[in-house]
Amino acid sequence: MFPYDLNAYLKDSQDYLELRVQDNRVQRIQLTNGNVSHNSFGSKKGVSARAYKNGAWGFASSSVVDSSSISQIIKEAKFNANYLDHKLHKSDHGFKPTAAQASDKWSAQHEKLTAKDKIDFLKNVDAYLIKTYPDLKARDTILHSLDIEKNLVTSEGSSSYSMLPRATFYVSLTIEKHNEPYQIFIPYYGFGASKNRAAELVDLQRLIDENYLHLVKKSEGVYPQAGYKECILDSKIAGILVHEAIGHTTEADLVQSGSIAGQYLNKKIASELISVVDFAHSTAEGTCMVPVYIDDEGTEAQDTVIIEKGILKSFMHNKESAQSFGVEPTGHARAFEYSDEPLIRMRNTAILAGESRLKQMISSIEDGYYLIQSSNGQADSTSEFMFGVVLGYEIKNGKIANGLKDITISGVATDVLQSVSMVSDDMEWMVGFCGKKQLMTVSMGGPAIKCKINVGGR
Amino acid sequence: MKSGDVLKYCLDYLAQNKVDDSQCTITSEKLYEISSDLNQIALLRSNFAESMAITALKNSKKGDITTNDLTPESLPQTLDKLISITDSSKEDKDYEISPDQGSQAFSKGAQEPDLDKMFTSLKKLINHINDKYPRISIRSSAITFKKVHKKLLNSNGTFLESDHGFYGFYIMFMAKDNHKISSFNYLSNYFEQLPEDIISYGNFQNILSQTTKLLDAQTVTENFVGDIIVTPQCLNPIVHMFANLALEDRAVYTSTSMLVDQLNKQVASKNLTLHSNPVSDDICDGYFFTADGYVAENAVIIDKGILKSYLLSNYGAKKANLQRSKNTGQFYAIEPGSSSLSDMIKNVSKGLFVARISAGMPAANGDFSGVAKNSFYIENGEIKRAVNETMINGNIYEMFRNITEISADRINLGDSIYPWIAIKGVNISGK
Repeated sequence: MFPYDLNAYLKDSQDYLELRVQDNRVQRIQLTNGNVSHNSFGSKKGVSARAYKNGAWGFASSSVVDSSSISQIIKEAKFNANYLDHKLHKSDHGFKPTAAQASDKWSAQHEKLTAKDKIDFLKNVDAYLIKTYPDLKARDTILHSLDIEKNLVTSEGSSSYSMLPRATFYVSLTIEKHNEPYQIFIPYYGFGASKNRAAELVDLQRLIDENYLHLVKKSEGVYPQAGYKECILDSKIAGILVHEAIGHTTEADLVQSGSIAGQYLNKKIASELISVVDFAHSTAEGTCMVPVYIDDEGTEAQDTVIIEKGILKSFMHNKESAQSFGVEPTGHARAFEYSDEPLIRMRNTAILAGESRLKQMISSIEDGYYLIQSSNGQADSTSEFMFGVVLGYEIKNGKIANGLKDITISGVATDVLQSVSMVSDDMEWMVGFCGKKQLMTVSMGGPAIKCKINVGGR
Repeated sequence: MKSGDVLKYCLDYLAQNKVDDSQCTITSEKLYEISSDLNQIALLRSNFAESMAITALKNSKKGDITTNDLTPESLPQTLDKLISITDSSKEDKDYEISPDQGSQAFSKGAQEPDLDKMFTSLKKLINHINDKYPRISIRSSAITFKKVHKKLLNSNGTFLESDHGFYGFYIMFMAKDNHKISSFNYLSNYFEQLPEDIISYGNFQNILSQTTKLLDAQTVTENFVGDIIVTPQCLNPIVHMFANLALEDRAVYTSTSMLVDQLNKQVASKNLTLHSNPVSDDICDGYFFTADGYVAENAVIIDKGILKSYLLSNYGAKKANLQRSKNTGQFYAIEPGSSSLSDMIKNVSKGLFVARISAGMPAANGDFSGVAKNSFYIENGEIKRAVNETMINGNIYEMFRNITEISADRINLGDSIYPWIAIKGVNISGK
């Protein structure tokens, strides 16, 4: 908790003003082939203010956080807004005020582990790798944690305090086949959420065992045939698909600049089996991986139904875009570090589960691919997207066949989602970083889907 | 405390607490930005940040900490935490602090921003695009000024100081005509002094014209092996991928790079000479010393196709049993060839002119595929039409070996200097 009454600094504000004190604390420990290649802790703490004047924004930040610097930053943000206002003469009337309050009721209470506890855990995992898989050419075990603590107040009466801890464990395995290296990257989300470290180790070892088998299959695998194919996108890939190809194109700032979604509001853009929601903080199953109760403009965060049974229903907004579209703001204005201004960003975006069983979906394909894990994804204004696929298999006559080498898949999201003919009844969430001028923590989820997609091959 | 006193305090405190070696760097950074939302200038930003990065070596164990709380009362707590992190680590004889290189100071670039000029330049650029390219829709654009001051002191006596200011420009845009839209495109450039007319830099006008042609893009309707011509802007991420995959620390010392044991051997086309130039006068961005405390020098990485240097830190070099590199990468320059771009296009019987690739990191063995964005189909030496939904697929090591031509013209992006290059034998597939 920061020892400042931030509201006291906003007393004299005539125009809209946000004030935020934030600290992003990052720890990274990495063992590479058993050696500690990273062992670091970092804190990035500071104060920022954003002021609005007749359509001009002024932003200022400082890494020095004390009473004098907070006052100075407010002064500088106002100066910046006034400087632009004098140059621009816009006289915009601003946006509808929002006022919401929230305190730290939702912070996950992760166990506090010492640096030694963490390194010992990594050493245990590394020892397991050496003993169980002596043929590994390279192995990495990585612990990455990020705690974001922030305190926000606005001149419209919003205030919030949050502390969101997050830790992820990663294992990377590399083997060699015919003098060529093959790698697999295994994320393990929510490390430290349980107090039972031994159980976490067993869980992780099970995940490593599964993925090592996949890696061997990949090294012996084939390149797919290039072209449009029937595929099952497993839940992790479906989550990235919805984030990249639907999520970004329905962020209101991208809609304003001309993204394809702007043409399709209230029109059918996907199969009736597809519904997409950007959850603010909770689903029926509990708290989301990236809970946002109040956004960084002080707006209470609302769930946003983006696609309902195939129909595009709404976009994601900050205050300004909501004003421009004549709708209520949805709480999507988020800033990653203290020195960043809020931008329209997703939170927890997911395709909702359907009714099919994965096994039944695979058996329904004669000649296609089962694509399990993606390395990354990118999407475009046209909703054309690509994902690197680092784990997948051929499907032949309804059965899993050869493993696949690393490939890329692509398509136009609206076409691909129109082609969805089955949606599985389970779903999986994953957490990651999204890049849009700034980084941002987001989560994405989905069931497995059966669709037609362009597979890059040889 | 002044920054020099903070550095000394930290090193003394660590020494008194049985830390064997240490290094401390204070970075002060000022950032100014004027940016637009769509085609309206909307925000003026001024950020000030001071941060400190400290490395401690104790009993052959290493720990790193960064903080931007440099107040005297917080320093002991930060340093105690660093010692605790270090104690918890594992011994490794290859950790080292750089040797005494004396005191050295470096500086380049502008000292203070000219806000009025930044505003005028951005406004002029936006107006120019609105007037001359009415079908271009700007998502966002910005002009920045960044001033970075660094001081590094280590327990071996090295004291390095640098002062570096430069302007930057960024724009993200697309073409739009009623219901037809193009892919997004991005441009950026860095400048030591802000030019009056940004539009005349970086081949921007041609790229804006090409983007409007993407409104009528069509997919390639077949799968074939052809040639691609890659633009300077598109080369930048490809070279960075190659460096990460083949030349940097982890890839080399874990032997997962396919170029291990290839020093002084042919690894690329004889046409290719690649430099990493962090201290070049031709590149306005850059760094004067590496994160591990060595004065940086420019380096030839590949000379006429022969691998001359990896990009190894001191730790990476010791782990790989090789020499530390003159720098740790980035700020790349490819030497010009002798071809004109128009001749290079004429020499392609079937292929693509590729201005952007949407792709992830290549696989460990170099396999690489992605979607060709902002790209054009070439047939019989002529650019025929814009393409969409078209993928390219190859192997990044093979692509570097299969460079057939390099243009005489190059583009200086401020953080790199690249020509256009032609690569043969790439798999191209459409819908």
